[in-house]
Amino acid sequence: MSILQAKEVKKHYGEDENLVKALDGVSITIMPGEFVSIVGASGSGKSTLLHMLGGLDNPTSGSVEIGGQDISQLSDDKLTVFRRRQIGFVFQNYNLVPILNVFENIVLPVELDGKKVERDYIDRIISLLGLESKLNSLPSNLSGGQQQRVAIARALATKPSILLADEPTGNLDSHTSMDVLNLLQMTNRQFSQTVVMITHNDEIANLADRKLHMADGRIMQPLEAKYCGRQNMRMGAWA
Amino acid sequence: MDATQSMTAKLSDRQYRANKSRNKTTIIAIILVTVMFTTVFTIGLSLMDTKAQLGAVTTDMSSMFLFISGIILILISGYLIIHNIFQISVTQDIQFYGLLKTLGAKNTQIGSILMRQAARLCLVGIPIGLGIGYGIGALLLPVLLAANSAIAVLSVNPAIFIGAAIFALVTVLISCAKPARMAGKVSPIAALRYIDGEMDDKRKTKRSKRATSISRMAKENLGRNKKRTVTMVASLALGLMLLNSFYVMQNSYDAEAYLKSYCASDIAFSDKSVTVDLLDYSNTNNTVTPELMEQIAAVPGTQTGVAYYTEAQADPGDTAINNIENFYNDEESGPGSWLSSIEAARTSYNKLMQTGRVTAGVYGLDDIAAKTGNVYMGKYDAEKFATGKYAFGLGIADNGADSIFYEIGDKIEIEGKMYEIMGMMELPTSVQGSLETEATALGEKYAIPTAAFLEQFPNTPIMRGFANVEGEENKRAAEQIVLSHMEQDGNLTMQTRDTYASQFREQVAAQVILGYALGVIMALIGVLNFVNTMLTAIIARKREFAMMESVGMTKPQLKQMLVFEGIDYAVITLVISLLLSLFVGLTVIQDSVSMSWVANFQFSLLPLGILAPVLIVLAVFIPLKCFGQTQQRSLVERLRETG
Ligand SMILES: Nc1ncnc2c1ncn2[C@@H]1O[C@H](COP(=O)(O)OP(=O)(O)OP(=O)(O)O)[C@@H](O)[C@H]1O
Ligand SMILES: [Mg+2]
Repeated sequence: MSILQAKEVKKHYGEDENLVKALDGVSITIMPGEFVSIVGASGSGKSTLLHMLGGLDNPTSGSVEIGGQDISQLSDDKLTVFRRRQIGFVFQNYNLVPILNVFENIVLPVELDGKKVERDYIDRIISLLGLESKLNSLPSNLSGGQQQRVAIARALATKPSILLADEPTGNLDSHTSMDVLNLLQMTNRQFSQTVVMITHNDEIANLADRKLHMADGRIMQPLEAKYCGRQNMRMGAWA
Repeated sequence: MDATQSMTAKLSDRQYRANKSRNKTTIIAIILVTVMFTTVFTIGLSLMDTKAQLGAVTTDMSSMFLFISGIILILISGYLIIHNIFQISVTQDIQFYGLLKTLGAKNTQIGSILMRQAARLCLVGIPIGLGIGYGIGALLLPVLLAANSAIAVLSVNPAIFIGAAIFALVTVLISCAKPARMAGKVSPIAALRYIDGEMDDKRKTKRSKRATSISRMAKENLGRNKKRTVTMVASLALGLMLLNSFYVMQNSYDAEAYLKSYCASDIAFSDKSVTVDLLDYSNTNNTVTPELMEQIAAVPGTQTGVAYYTEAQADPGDTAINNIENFYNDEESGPGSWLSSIEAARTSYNKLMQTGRVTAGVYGLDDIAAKTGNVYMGKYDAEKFATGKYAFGLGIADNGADSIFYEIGDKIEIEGKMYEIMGMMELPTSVQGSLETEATALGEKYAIPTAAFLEQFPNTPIMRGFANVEGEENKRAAEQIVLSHMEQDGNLTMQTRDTYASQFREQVAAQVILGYALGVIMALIGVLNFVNTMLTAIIARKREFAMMESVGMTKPQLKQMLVFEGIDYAVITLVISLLLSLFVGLTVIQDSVSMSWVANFQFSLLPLGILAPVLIVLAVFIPLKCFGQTQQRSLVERLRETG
């Protein structure tokens, strides 16, 4: 059974001449434990799709199911609790809490859930991401790359069954990028975590089990590689 | 404490510490609100204690009504500012709350972050407010009671502090309940993209095609957050309305009407029994001596007068007897029942019906005393009156038909001498006293000239002496003479116009002082609200300003836009205050004033007129000052800023 499923999801912003079809009928099915990457031009709707899949925003039409549950049927609080237990987010703009230090930011989702922090596990993530020396710093004193690593650590802290990452390596040098990817692949295998990752880096995208291509609010890459068609070739985005 | 609790506590604590200046504003608002509650509670309970000391335990409905409407007004004005502050702070922090939501904070957890901060602010603000409010209450209490003989008892009832604290707390809780819910309900992604006042995307499509003018941009900014504009304007308008209304009330009290009734001359003196114990006037005490009158008359610029009083047997004539009979036979209107309940009145009545005679109060008045009377029937003709053939019937002027006992030309007889009724008048309290003895229970009273009085009742001592004195010095001299006589004769008392006037002013002040105090604090709250709204609006728009500047709007143009905005606020506030003041003045205040006989409703907009320029100046000054504070850093720095 699928863990994430989007059916004909549309998301429109604005009206009339200002209408933006950020998502224009997206249907995808993601199986448990899958590692999926999403690529596409800027403004093609990648972030919007990821937000929909994580239940952070409501689609204009269509439905999203997480673990077979239609999330539009869930109450606000139920969805929140579900999200903090099952889903880890890495945002494109990190979204760290400015008034909490690095360590507090990392354990925030765990504590919000009223759980005890597993120090061993958290320490392992911290050292893997090389954040040991920054634990007491406030986000405003970190570089973009450091903030991004904190955001990744925070997303992994609750051992979510689904990890949704929006350009998790966008601000990292190629060496650290590979480290982060190895980390994601590791948690993906070790906890059979489902990973959906947006990236602009084809090298990284190709490491995924499956690669989706977005353009103009639609998925252009068919679910199976054999449908790889002329459309994509014409767009020249298929290396 | 479990982890969830500690996390919301930690977030709340950090956020509290990250917003020092916002906290200051909130604490000031909470202090002001608590001050108002505490003042009202202190005075309310102290008045009850003071009354209890006088033996009166009942609280009358009207002061209860005042107390409750005061509390409600404070609740409203407190809500208006505190709600506004929290609303603004939630708007400012909406990204923070949205972020927490994406990370899995529940509505209640987010709400409790805000509530915790509110509680903490209360913990600081309420005790300070309680202290200041109690102080103000203690200062106002003597003023409020100045006109009463009671000694002010400052209540130390703990209910003052408990009650005021609870009300202040309730105000804060009500005020931040909605913002807390709003913070909890934010949609995560919308919040992350939230721009002040532009929650709905529809607005962007409704841009008009007209050319942009600076004043129109200011108007649009005003409309950007209507609710905030409304609460801000309302809180300021409420304070201004209160000040204006109480001024109208004070202005309507007519010292002349009061003095005319209580003190018809510059100086009046009499035996104590006339003023203190009205039922026992003894006209055997020779208190106001002829020597005293002579000495005072000798003061330059002085005109003196006297009044005598005695009781005598009289025949009021057929018209009066008929009127009296009709009056008391009117079962429905009460006099009949009064007659049957008061022994002395019944005796007099029966005697009158059987013999045609009644015990009457007879006043001997000279010209100066007679002229103080309010003649409501007939005309006072000094020369004719002095002949001693005429008498005035005394009554109460505004009792309608019940004031008329006689017809002009009626013949009456006092102790064997006939008089013709010249008319009827009401004498001021300062001449008549409130002489109501049991013997004159039917209220038949006459005024005749002094010469005729002394002829009929020789050796009657003077009841009251009057003097009108020209010049302050002469007045002091005349007063000094009475004072020296008072030292010799403990029964002599004196009333002066000045003491009555100041007593009246104190009474009026007591009526309005609490209203002024509340009005001033509410207006302060309004100004605080204005500063807070302006400052946060400018801070929220820092980047917008920097952007406008970078595309070529000059600083003077930006300032001009802000000043337009401030003036728009001020004008709206003034218009609303004007309408509110007109409404309240012409309904509540006019009603309450018209019930008082010493008041003459006189509408005024003087306080608004005085405060209007002040408000306009503030409306120009505050935005410029706030803008100046945000302009200290470079354009690039301001553009980079995300907050
Ligand atoms: N809240 C919003 N209001 C209006 N338009 C929006 C909103 N959010 C997204 N859009 C529009 O929807 C489209 C898709 O945006 P999205 O952020 O999903 O793109 P993206 O593929 O993630 O781009 P990038 O690679 O640059 O991050 C864009 O045209 C964007 O302008
Ligand atoms: Mg994106």
